[in-house]
This record gives sequence, structure tokens and C-alpha cells, in this order.
Amino acid sequence: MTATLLAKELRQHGLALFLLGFLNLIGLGLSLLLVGQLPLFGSMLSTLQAECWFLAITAVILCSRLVVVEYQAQTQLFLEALPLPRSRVFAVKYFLGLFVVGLFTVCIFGVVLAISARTEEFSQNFIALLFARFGLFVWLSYGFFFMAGFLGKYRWAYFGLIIIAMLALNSLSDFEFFRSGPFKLVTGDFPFERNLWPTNALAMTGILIGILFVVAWMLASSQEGEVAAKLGERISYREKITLIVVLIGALATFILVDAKKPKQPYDTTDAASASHSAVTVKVSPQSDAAQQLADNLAIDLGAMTDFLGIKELPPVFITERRDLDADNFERGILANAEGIAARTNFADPEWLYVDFLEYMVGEALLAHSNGRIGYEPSFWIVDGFCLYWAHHRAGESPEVDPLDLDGARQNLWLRALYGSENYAQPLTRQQHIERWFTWQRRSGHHITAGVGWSGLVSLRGEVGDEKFRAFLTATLGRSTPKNITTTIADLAEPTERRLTKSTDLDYSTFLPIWNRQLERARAALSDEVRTLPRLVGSFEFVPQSEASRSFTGEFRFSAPSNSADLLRPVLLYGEPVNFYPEVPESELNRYPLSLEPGEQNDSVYQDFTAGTRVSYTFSARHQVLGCPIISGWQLIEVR
Amino acid sequence: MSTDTAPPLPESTSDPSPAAEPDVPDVVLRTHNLQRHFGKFRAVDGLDLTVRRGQIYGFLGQNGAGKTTTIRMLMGIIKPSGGEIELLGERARRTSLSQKQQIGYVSQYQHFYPWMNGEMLGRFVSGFYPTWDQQEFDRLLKVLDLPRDRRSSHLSGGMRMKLALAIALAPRPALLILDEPTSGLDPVAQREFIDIIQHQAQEHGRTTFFSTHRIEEIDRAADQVGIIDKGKLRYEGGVDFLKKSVRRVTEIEARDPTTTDANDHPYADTQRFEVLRASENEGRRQWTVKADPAFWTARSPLGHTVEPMSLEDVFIAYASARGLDKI
Repeated sequence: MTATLLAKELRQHGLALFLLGFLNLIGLGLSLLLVGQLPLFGSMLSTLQAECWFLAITAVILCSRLVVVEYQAQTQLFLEALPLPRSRVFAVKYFLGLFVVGLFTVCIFGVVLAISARTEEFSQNFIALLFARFGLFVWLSYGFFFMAGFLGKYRWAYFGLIIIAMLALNSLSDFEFFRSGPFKLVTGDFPFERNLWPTNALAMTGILIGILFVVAWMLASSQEGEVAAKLGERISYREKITLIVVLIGALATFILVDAKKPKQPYDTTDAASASHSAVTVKVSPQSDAAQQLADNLAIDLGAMTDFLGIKELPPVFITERRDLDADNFERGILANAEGIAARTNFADPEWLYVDFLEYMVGEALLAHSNGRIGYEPSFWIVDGFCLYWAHHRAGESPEVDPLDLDGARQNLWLRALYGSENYAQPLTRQQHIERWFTWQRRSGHHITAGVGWSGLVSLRGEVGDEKFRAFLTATLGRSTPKNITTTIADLAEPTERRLTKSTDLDYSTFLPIWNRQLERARAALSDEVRTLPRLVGSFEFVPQSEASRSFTGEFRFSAPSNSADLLRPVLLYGEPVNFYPEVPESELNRYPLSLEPGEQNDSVYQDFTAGTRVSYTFSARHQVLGCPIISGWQLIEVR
Repeated sequence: MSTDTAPPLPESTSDPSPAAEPDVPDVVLRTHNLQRHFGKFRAVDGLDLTVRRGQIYGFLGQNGAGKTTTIRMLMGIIKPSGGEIELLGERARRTSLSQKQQIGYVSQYQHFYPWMNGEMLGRFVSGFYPTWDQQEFDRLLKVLDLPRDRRSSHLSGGMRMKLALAIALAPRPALLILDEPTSGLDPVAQREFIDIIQHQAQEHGRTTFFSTHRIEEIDRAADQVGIIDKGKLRYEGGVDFLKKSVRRVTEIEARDPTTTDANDHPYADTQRFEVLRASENEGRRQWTVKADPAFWTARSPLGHTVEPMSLEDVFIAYASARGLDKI
């Protein structure tokens, strides 16, 4: 009986299964190519994350063939008339589909594992962990679409509503839907977590698979199959119109409800407080220095909000932290509360307000834009504006012409030249500025801020203050509610279009202007640029013993010969979060170095287990540039 | 070719050397107070019918009377709300799979897989019947003049119905159930189909239960009839007996229109007569009355005429009985 049914299904859907296999092969090839090309992914195992979505599409098509086609053609009535239990038909369809998706899953997993094995080591536990996460997620998506197949004509509306509901949940609440529950299995640390089993997520996924199976069976069998038969009928014109109206209504509601779930206002006691324009700043603990910082910050950030047309900014909370280095600023996390929080050691004699203001401008813009300004192709504007505003407000002479190469901004031009030599010289292609984070990893964000600053002052010099301000208002000051309207607006009006709208320039005309200014500066400051040092060093892992799986980091560092202006050299290293190569400031380890001539060989005595990824760079503050320079962030894996 | 006579069959539809039939009890099918409710609506309401071995049982009823629901319960497709089904000696609430394997079933609409041809369909269905006789199926395809390799989606309605019949007969079922098999067929195909069923019964002793709302099919093929109306069995018995039992009684002269007592008819005082329907025709009252045929041999009551009725009129009387107080 089962064999007869299976033979029928294979005969009916054989060609579709073959085509699906072929499509998956193409999908796998594309995923491998994409992940292999982009260092952002960090591991070839990220291919499996992309494959989850390919397999979900496979499940949609497969379930449509197995379930929807059967009910749409009403051939289930033919089966019902045979001496064949309904449960057998259901089980054959479910497990045949699961077997096919499972077969694709195992094949894809095997191929990706084989390719990754050339660069990574695999323990049995790691393989089992990866397969459990990957396989269970794929099973869940198959179960979801199999169940949806019984919804027949309403399944697309159901998919639409589910997607809108998930986006709404993710966007309008603090709940990170796509990093929770089953999604947690294949997001975040998926390719890198080798030991910890996400038991809760695995259990929840297993339960959901069971629930979906039961719901599918209920739909298939309720009212003796009448419900599924009715739902399987072709959709009428009236139903279609009704569903479109419902979906548009749901989408419109989602767009309109753009306000986040209101958070409790955060407050702090024992704090110096100051307000200016749309900005309130509180600095704790209270002291004269704290009050002065609060006053200065309120005025400078307030002026920024006026300049950019920002009507409202969350309150700013600064906490003094004496254990931090003078140039180390940490972001504070306000759980379920509204506000911008930062920690700094403003009592340190080497602490500089201009650097802190630069940092806080970035934090304020990030908060105002709900994180939107973090979009890489336009991040040069953010980097540049933070430096621009900090020096514009807190510089020695606010009236100085930034294009004056001999003036107070000479060090910023040197930063720009130093940075452009590290990445793109001359700066002629749009992709140079649209791959800003790659540039940041090579030069450090203080240096790329100099490059961005040079772009902004070049623009200001070309178009004048009014258009310059209009452009910044359009890019940094605009309202960016945390919903889909901002995405639509960004797609409709990318940065270049805003540039053209505000200044009548596009990138093809603006980049040569910017480049001319850099060339002019290079010609004038070539001697100074030549004296700027380059940091070079290397870091590797050595086993602590022959039998050990623990490693120690060993590094070599040679102080550059022209290191007279360098201060506080350090090795910075830490484990990156998820698949980003960057390490949050608070997670960075600092190992002091010496600037004595000769090569330093030293060890970081810390246990690293196989498979751990570590980002590192050598860094030192350069007095003339007024910021740290780095050797460039490197990501290595303990092997 | 004239349409009022059935076209001759190409050759016998029964196997000239049939395999031994399984032991079939005298009562092939019996329902006991069978019920099926859809919410408050009682589609089948306490049905008790009996089909004996070798009978062609015509299950007659209007559209919506409960015929298809009854058959779907008999086939185990839907579960009865109450009552029991006794099939081939086994009595249960719901028809089991093993019982179903002994029934050949032809539904009202054929939902074959459109990509399958006759041969494929036979091969597919054979996997569910242990008694499937491939030679018989091949023979039926031939005698019913059905193409083996034409997709079912390319077959006419009549051919699809014949293919369904071939599939239903190939397992040599103890009982053949057909749900309005001729609906949607043209008159020639209808006649041909009924002839095939009759032929099967006569040549092979096949017990057949078929539903229909066409009187002529009952008249032509059935030797036992069950009339269902609003989920209840109104009559069960022989077709000839039914025709002889029911008469139309009509007043010769119109009476005082203020006299409206429906029970005021010539047979109101006896238990041996059952008034199925009362109506009025040009001021004269009429009654459709059922009684033992022997009672109709007596003289007509004074002031009334008594006349025999066609099977169609009898069925209408059963199907449209709405009580006696509306005249």
C-alpha cells in the first residue's frame, strides 16, 4: 500500500524533484562563491546559513507539489474512495517530502563540510552540533510549508501575514525575533560555536516541528478532509480582492505604527546636569569637572541638533570610569530604557574633550537614526562629520579655514593622507568610499574619519555652507523611524541622489574635487607624510604542549624607526562577536608594548582553544596626527 | 441509431470463466438506524436499508435527499454520527479497510490523476486490492472499448465513467456501489451504462447498489428500490410491488370548498391504507394512497375514481409528501 503510494508520488513529482535537485546544486554553487568571495563571512560554514533559505524555497515548491496540487486537482477524492486510510496518505506525503529535503540537506552539508575541512578543523561534537542546528532548522521550515500546503488558496496570504507579523515584532519591539528561538540556530555564532549546544533553541524548534505536524494533520483530517478540500479549491476573484485588501491593511498598519514600544525614561542620581536645545546631558558622579563636561557637551551636541535640524535626541548619560584609558570610551547599555550612555575617564590628565566629543557625536547620530547611519556606503559622511563637528566646535580656533593646509587642521589633512595611502590613492572610484569598513579595518576609524573629514570640507569648499548643511541635514538629520518606511526611503533616495539634490553634484563630479584637495594636500605636506610611521607586527598561536589543545598567542613587533611621536603602543586583541571581525571596545584586551629599538617577541599567556577566532592589531597614539594609528585588524583562527 | 433502445454490448462484460466468488452472505448490506448530522442538519436520519445477495438495489431520491452522504458512509469516507453498518456479515460503526476492499465503488465524479492513462490507473489501484484480477481488468478495458494509453484527462465523461467501472469490477467485488453513475452522461451513454450494470448482475450475480434520481433507471434495471427523502427511507421493496401498491384516488365532483379536512377521504377509516400525498385538481381533491395490491381489486368507493400510477408519479408522491393539511 505504502509502496504503491510512494511509486505514484515519485512518478508524479519525479521531474520536479530532479529540477529541485538541480536548482539546489546551482544555489550551493552561488552560496559557496558568495561566501568565498566576501571575507565578511569569516568561514565557509556560513554557506550553510545561506543554504537554509535555499532549502526553505525548496520546501515551498515541494510542499506545493505534494499537497496543494493534490487538493487543487481534487485527486484526494480519488484516494479517499480507495481502501486506504487518510493517515497513510498524509504520512507518505510528509515523510517523502522530508526525505527529499533531508537528502538535499545531507548532501549540501557534506559538500560544505568537505570544502571547509581544507581550512578548518572539525571535531565530532562540532559536526554534530552544526548538523543538529542546520538540519533541525531545515526540518522546521519544511514542516511549516507542509502545514501551509493544507491552507491551499489562503497559503500565500498566510505567508504574507506571517512575514508582516515577524517584521512588526522585530521592528516595533525590543524582541530580536530573527536572533531568537529557531532563528538562533542558524544566525549569529552558527559557524563558530564549537562546544555549546543551544539546547533551548533546539528544544523549541523540536516542539514547533511537532506542533506543525499536528496542525497539518488536523487540517488534513478535520471534518473528514472537508476543510482541506474546501481550502484546496481555486481562489475566487472576490476572495483574492479581500485578501489583497487585508494584506495591504496589515502592511499599512505596520508602517504607520512606527513608534517603538515606549521605553521607561532612564535617569541617574548624583549627576551634574545641563540642557541645550534638544539635548539634555547628565554626568555622574557630580563634580565641577562633571558639570563642565555636561555644560560643554550639552552646548555642542545642542548646536549639532540645531545645525542638522534634529528636533529630539534621547538624553545623554555619562559615567566617569577611572579604570579606563584616557582615549578609551565605552558605550553603556540601557536595558529597556531610552537614552545614550557612555563611560569615560574624564579625570585623566591626558583625556581630550575633542576626542570625546567626536565619539559622542557618533553615538548621538546613531541613536537619532535608530542605527540607520551604520549603513556602509554612506558611513564616510558619519566618520567625517564626527571629526568635523568635534573640531568645528572644540578646536582651538573655530573660525579657521579647514582647507588651509598650514592652519590648525593640518593634522586632520595628515590623517586623510595617511589613510588614503593605506587604501585608495587616488580616491577615484565610488566603491572606494562604499567599502568604508574595509578601509576602517586597515587604518582604524580615527584615520578614516580624517579621510571622511577631508571629503566633507572639500564639499563645503566647493558648494558653500548652505548647500553643505542641506546635504548633511538630508543625510544625518533626517527622521528615520524604525520601520520599513526608512528602508523604502533609503532605497528610493540613496546617498548619491541626496548629494545631487542638495549640492547639484554627483559622485562622478564630487570625487575628482575631493581627490584634487587630497592631491593638493599631498603636494604641500609630503615631507610630513613621509615621516609618519607604519606599525608592523604579527601574531600567531602555538600549542602549550604537544598533547595540548590549548594555545598561547605569540607576537612579534618592531618599533618603527620614526617612532618619536608615538605614545602608548599596545597590542589589541579579542574574540569577535558573531561573524563580524570587529571586537567591541569593551571586549578588547590591551597588551602594552615597548618602543625600544629592536624586535619584541612576547607571549600573551591566555588559553585559546582550537577553532577560536581572534582579531588583533598593533596600535599607538601618534602625537602629530592626534589619534591612534594601527597596523590593521587581522582575523586569525586558532588551529 | 435510435436512442430509445440501448445499443448492443460489444461482447459480454462478464468473465466467461470467472474465478470462484468468495462466500457472500444472503444479506450483503444492512444499515441500522444510520445517521449523519452536519451541525443541526440531519442529512441522513435513521436509515434502515437491506440489500440482499444478487439484487440490483436502486437508491432513489431527490437531489439533497441524502443519497451521496449515505454512500460516503457506506464507503467509510465519512463516519456516521450514529447507527451501524452491517457489511458482508460484519457489523460496525464505520466500514473497515478490509470491508472496503470487497466493494467496488464508482463515484458521481471521477477525480482520476489527469496524467495517468487507463493502464497506469489500473496498476496504481491494484496495489490496494488483494483480489485484483489484472486479466479481468485488461478484458474489461477491451470489452468496454477503453483506450489503455490515453490520459484520463483526454477521456470523455462516458469513457471516464466506464473506466471507473472497469476499475471497480477488476477486484471482483462482493458488492458494487455506484453513486449516480449516469449523471452528466448523454442519453446513449446512460443507457449503455445501465445495460452494463444489468449485464453484470444477470451474468455474474453481482450485487449492485446504485443511487439515482432517474425513475427510468430504476424502472429498467432495479429489482429492489429504496426511496429516500430528507434523510429518511420512505419506501423499500420491489419495484413492481411498489407500482401495484400505489393508486390515485380522485373525487368525481368538486365539493364544498369550505370542507378542508384532509383526512376526509374514502379510506380514512382504515389502517390498511396510507395516504402519501393529498392535492387538489380543478376543485376536486386527489389522494395518492398506498395499500396492499390485493385491496385495489375491490370496487372503487362511491363518488371517486381509482387509477394506477406510473413509477415517476409514485416517486413524486413519496418525494413531495408534505403532510395532508395543505390542501
